Amino acid sequence: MREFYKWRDDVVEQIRFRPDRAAVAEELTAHYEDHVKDLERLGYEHELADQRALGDMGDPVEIGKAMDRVHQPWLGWLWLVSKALAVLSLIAVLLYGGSNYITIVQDLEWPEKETDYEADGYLSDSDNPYFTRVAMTKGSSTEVCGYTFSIPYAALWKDTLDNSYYNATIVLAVRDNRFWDDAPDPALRTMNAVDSHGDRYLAVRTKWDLSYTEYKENWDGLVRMSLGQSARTPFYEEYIVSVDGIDQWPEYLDLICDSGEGFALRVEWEAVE
Amino acid sequence: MMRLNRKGKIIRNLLVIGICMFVISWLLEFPALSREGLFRRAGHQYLLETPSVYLTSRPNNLTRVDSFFLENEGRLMTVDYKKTFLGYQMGSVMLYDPEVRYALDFNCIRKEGDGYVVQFTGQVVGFLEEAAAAELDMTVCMMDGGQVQRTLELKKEDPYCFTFVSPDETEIQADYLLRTSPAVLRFYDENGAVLEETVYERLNIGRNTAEGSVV
Repeated sequence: MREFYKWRDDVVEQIRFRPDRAAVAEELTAHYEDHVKDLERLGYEHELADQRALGDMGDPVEIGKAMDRVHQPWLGWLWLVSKALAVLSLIAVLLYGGSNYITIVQDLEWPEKETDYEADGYLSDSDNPYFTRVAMTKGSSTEVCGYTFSIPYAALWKDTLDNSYYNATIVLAVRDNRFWDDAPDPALRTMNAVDSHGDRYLAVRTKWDLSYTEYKENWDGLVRMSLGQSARTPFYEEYIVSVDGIDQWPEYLDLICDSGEGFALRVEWEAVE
Repeated sequence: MMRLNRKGKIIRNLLVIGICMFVISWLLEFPALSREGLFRRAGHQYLLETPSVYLTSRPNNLTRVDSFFLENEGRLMTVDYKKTFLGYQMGSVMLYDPEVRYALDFNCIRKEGDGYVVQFTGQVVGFLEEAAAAELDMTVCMMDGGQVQRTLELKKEDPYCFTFVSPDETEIQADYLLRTSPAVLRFYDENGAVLEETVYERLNIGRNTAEGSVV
């Protein structure tokens, strides 16, 4: 057996990728021991079986060089490094996860499609018996800065209590192919609306930029538009725009965003029978 | 299950690494790989197609979020960010109105007793290339109800940024009631003439802007 160990050492010395030497040595030893047992089963004595088996293993240097061609160092090191990095990556995912997994879960909750919009939905107080839906429609669409803005649904509600004004609820959809980019939320929150009579409806954000005195002096009664995000995925965001206190029936309502390149979307109302 | 050879295992490991990096990037809301990418993304938030010009970057000791200060079509823009190993994670973005030429950040660094601010740091960042010096007049409210005027000399860090540190008022038990005390910020040119003066009705911990009067 001692001669075999020397033979084995001569073989593994030829393998340049050291981490594989132990495994190769183990495999050669198992192969040699199996051969010895087979010979002993055929009637060979143990010592003779050892010698015969060793002789059949071949030249150690040639065998070693053949093994070295299979166990190439660069491939071996690449395997070890990739294994370590894979383990570290999995640990990093667990460490960075925590409560942030909610982000992925929420991103994967795709919102309803256009055809699923309920006729009576999307009014903040749709259970309010004092509002009646009087018009609904789809709006226009436009593309700005890689975003596609569209209005898949809009409804006009009338206050039946004192019959004095209308409220509009508009679904604003934002699509883009840049999954790493969010919707232009800061730009959208500067939007305002103008109806067919020329009346303007300013965003709530404008109100908070003013001091109390300025607000009372200049904007009393005009701040009647609010915007809230209702859905968010990597490729799609949805906002609910509410415009309140429309005094007269508007033939159309324009949503105007003046930020950067800006855009305007028109909603032309179709009366509901 | 089929046993993979070494090459197969390497491909499998690389796939695991790639998927993990993508998931981590998703958890970090896909950080921008470069500063320019971050600026472009910030511009998209305001539907800006023109590229933003980098002015300076400053740390914020209060929020521990650093900020880039940029210029876009003559307007000041701030982009808060966190540097991660996958890139720049974008925080809040603000594009200021055209009349806002600079922003004053107040950071509280030390409080005493029941939370009285006895010392603070701050910075003024914006279009300040022409200013050679600056000072900030403040009213310090004392514990006994009295008031003391303080004038802080600002230090110019770069063409777009001045910083300041208030004196330590622990000894005199002062309380910088920043929310109620007015302040005046003055900029001077190289000859010592007043370039601009801004009166702040109220200064809060955080970022302040005010349309000032040009002298």
